[in-house]
Amino acid sequence: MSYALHLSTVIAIYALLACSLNLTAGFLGLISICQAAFFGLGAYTAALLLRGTTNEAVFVAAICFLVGWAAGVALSTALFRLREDYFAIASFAFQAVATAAFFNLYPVTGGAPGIAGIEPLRFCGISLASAARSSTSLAVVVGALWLIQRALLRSPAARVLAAIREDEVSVLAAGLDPNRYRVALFAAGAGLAAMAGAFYASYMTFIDPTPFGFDESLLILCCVVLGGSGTSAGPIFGAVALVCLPEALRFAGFPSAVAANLRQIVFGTALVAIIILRPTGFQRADRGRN
Amino acid sequence: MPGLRVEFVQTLSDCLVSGGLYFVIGLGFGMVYRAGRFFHLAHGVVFTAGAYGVYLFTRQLRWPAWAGVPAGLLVASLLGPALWFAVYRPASRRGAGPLGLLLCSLGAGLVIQHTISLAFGDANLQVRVPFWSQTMAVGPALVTRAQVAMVAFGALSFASVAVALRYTRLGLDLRATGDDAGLAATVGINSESVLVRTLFVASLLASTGGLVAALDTDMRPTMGMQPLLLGVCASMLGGVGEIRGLAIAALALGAVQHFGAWWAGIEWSESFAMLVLFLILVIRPEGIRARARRAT
Repeated sequence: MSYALHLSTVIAIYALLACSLNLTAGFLGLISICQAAFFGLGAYTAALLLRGTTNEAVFVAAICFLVGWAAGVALSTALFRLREDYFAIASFAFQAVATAAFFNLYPVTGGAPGIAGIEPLRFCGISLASAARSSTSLAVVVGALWLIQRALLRSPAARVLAAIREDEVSVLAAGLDPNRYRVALFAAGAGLAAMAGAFYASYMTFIDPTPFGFDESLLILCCVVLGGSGTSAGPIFGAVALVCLPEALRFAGFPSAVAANLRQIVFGTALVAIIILRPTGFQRADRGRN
Repeated sequence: MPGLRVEFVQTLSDCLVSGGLYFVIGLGFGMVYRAGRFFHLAHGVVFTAGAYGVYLFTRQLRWPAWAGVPAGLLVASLLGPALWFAVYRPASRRGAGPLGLLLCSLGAGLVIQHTISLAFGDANLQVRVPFWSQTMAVGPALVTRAQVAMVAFGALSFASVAVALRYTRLGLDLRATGDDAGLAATVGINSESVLVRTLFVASLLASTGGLVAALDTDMRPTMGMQPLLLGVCASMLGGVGEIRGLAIAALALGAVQHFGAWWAGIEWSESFAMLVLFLILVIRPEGIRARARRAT
């Protein structure tokens, strides 16, 4: 039971991350490979806050969201001239710089050994340390996000987003500024990823740079692409599938080192397969639906 | 201060070695971009595959070096064309754009890298041999033969690719396709065949670079990531297809990396170069974008 609860907490964290990336990758077709950097930014911010300032969940989550949001605004403003593959490459460079920072800013991040003994978040005096409470609170957040995304997809704004993705000139002709939407959604996604980081730090009570690297960014992207980007529930299903996959491999009797590599091979194959089978699908998943 | 001078010359020679490596990777990456207009990020694992391919034939199968080295490099060099037929071509035939191909290359790179991990283990493999590790004095600095070989290989690939681009049929076809794919097709250039052959040449450069790098610093399945990033960085900085620009950019990146590390500590060496890539993309992405637009 405790294993199932732990797994559901991890799934919920990745679902939140996948939803956060879906805002840009899915809705705007702007693929970034740096979501784990924002995830890490939030986790380290939370670790600093929880070291003594406060552990009120709403407050910590809000601060982390703001920090991630601010970083997202800065990054997307700097990169808004770039499209498609160039944007992806630049986000990749940002991820590499962030990874180096996580490893090397010892005073803040504790370097490779990381930070241990992080206090759990509290919500109205109730500690969220247990897996049951962590996963419940995360489920509420993910559920809320799902509803917001669904509402967004059914609102008139969805047509603007689709137009930015498919035909930017028509948006400009309509007198709208696509970059404002890009920055807004990218920053919101970065903030949500940072919020996921706060929950992660609180739940694990220990963080090191490993889960905030390039591989995790790619995993989050896989969750979105496999689940169906641009849909409201797809990334959540993607997260469930990709988090459960390595566990299934472990149960199938593979040693963990083999399972870790197999998992990456499956991700890579799936990523290639989905692009071959639905080359434009992941950018146009909502066509005909709204 | 003689100590400072020694350190300076040593750092300078490190710049040359790294610059040679980034040049070789960036050259192949840039040629593939020129021929196919997509980011071939699986180029980094071809580099890794070169080192492991030679290891497979010479150490595990115990072939003699004269047969094992070419066999290993050939297998790794065929990875590039194989990726085209297995991954890039099906994807682009079904309408995947540059972004789709970039994601494909990430996925394919993941598969190859972790297949290497499964087959040879995740750990560092010691493959240095006494002959190549032997040091020699260059002024006050000490360099190994493998490091000299890397610089020499960089210079050799510069010369041969520059000549090939200018005087061979493939070079001409590649330049034509890169400048205007549509026009090149109308005069009968088969752009797919150009791309496949370019992928082979690029993979040969990368896998040989991987072999030399393994002789210098041993090998691990993740060894391709850093040269790939810096090669990409160099090819963006130098402008795709600009071979002299690329050489200057690769050396400059080596300098940024090693002098930056000298100044701020070795652990930051990679971040300086990444920061440069990031800044180039923010400040001046037009270099290669202008070309891309003209071609379509």
